[in-house]
Amino acid sequence: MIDKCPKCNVKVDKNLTNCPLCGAYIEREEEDIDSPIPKINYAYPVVDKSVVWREIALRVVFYICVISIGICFLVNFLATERIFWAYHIVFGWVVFWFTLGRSLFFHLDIRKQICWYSIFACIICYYIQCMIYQTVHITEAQNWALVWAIPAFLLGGIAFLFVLMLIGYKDWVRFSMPLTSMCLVTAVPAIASAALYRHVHFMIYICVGVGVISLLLMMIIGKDKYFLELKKKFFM
Amino acid sequence: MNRIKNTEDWFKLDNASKIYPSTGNTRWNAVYRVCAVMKERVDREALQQALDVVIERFPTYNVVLRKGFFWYFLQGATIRPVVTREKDYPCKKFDIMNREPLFRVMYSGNRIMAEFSHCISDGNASTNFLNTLILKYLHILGKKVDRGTLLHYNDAPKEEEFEDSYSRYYDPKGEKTQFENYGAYHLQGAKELKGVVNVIHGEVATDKLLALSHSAGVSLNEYILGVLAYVLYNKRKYDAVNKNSKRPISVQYSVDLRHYFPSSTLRMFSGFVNTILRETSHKDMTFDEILQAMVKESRERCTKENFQKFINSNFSFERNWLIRIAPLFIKNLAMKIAYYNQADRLSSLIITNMGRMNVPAEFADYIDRYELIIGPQKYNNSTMTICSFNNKTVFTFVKTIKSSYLEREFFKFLQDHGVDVFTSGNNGGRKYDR
Repeated sequence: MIDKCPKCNVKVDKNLTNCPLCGAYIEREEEDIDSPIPKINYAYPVVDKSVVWREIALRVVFYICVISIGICFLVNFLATERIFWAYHIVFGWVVFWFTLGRSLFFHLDIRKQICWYSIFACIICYYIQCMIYQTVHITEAQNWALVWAIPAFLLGGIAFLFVLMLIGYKDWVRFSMPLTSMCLVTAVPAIASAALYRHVHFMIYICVGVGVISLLLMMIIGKDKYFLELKKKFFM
Repeated sequence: MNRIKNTEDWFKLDNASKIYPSTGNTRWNAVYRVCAVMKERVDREALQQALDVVIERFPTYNVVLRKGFFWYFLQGATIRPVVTREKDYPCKKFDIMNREPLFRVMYSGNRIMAEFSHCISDGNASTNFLNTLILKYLHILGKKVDRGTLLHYNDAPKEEEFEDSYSRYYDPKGEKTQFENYGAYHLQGAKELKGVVNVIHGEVATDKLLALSHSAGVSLNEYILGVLAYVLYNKRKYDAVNKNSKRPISVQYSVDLRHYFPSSTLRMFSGFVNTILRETSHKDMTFDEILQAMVKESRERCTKENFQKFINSNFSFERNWLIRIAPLFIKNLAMKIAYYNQADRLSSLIITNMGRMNVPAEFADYIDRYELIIGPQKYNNSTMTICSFNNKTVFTFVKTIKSSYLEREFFKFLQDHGVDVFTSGNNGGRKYDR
């Protein structure tokens, strides 16, 4: 039933045609090959080594990213002897990665993705605005990103998470932490607005207000569950 | 998987486990497998019924890993664990991002196997789980098996089984281990395809092996250590001269700290010892010289005082206020660097000796042998485990390189010394042309 390897002289499991140590072919008696598999079967399953498409795609995207950035920097520098547009490509890839790439390749949780989408939408708006006006110092009247778009995206993110929380109400605690993060992020445009213009716009007030109310609601309705979740997240 | 309950149970990772989630990457996290080869084919339904009962006895196992702002933590899973048929390579990475529970129970032909993440347990504790599972499985099948010293599935879980024993034995004023700074020789060779894990088992008679080691005047563990160092020494001798071949040979073996510090925890409580081959002269060393050098080194290092230092240094790291207030992403970075410098890099080979299985005598009627598989390490190409049961000692080599020099020479050595070896394996997951 069990034959020996001619090279290593060790007994080899009948399921194997070659010695696992040296790879030598094990010649077996004819009747031995035809005999049924022994009662104690040491065989392992054959693994379907299908190509892992996700991993290949991840690598391809990574190489495209690196090559495109390299080419853009090179072309930009050779053409103008200074770099002024190639960094947009870097920004584009970063945005792609944090919005679509991570979730595509790692199957990230939708709750976390909503947070990231909202935050990156805000950053993209600000970035586009800076590109349009060719400066980061923008007057309040021109600053549509901070005054309208950023609060809108943050409110959208909060609303979306709230809806998901209501749909999965039995497991609502799972949504409470991303929602808390979103509510806390509303403080950022408020601080930015106060610092830049010594004035907080009406839309930003609404945004902060919604954030505060959401937090209070979770604390009041969720009570112990919400605080337990906070404790888990912030224990030291 | 069915949702069964919404649990609020959560607990911190124990001290030694904290490094694993931080150092894991897209293809690796510390996974190991304990496995029993039954004498009959496994009945899936009965195994599922057994698991449903036994998992209540081990509440710290059906958990998922979650990220906090400062530390990772474990939370009770809301899904019922399901027994699955083995389809993949052993010790496949757990999908932590999608909250896959950190253990899985599988079957295949005659094998019952449980895979665990090192975040929740160590080899000794998880063998308790497997044995209790088998006990219930056999009872469901109507076999009369006494529980012996096993944890019974109907017992209530005890508080001390959940404890972090490192914190219990931490001595804040005690001495700490000095960090070592050397790189050990590593086996090198053509890599297998990404994800492919080669498993080779070698089964030998325990009494013959014991007789062999006793004839050399050393314990079985020390003898194996000596043989492995000897094989690695010979391999290094014929390697091309490069940076790697000038490095010292070091074999790391894990130690169940419960032997030194009484504890009944079912969580991780193990340490390790790096035994470095101290080469005293430029002459070629003989096997006896290597064996004596390894035994001396092992006996010097494997002491309660050293393990106390190990616990102190590990736990003081966790207690450091600077570390505690650092956000998780910074800790992850620091732990990655620490892992690279202080883990795999210091050892040429990692071995785990589970010793003799402490199970009821009736188990021998139903179980052929036990196997333990440690998943591939992050930087090391090979690992080896030893498991003994019913006069059968199973050596399991796991590797991610194609070369089988280490296991071939190791088994050849035993064979040459009169210990017959029976080999089996997964053939790299390739099809058997039988």
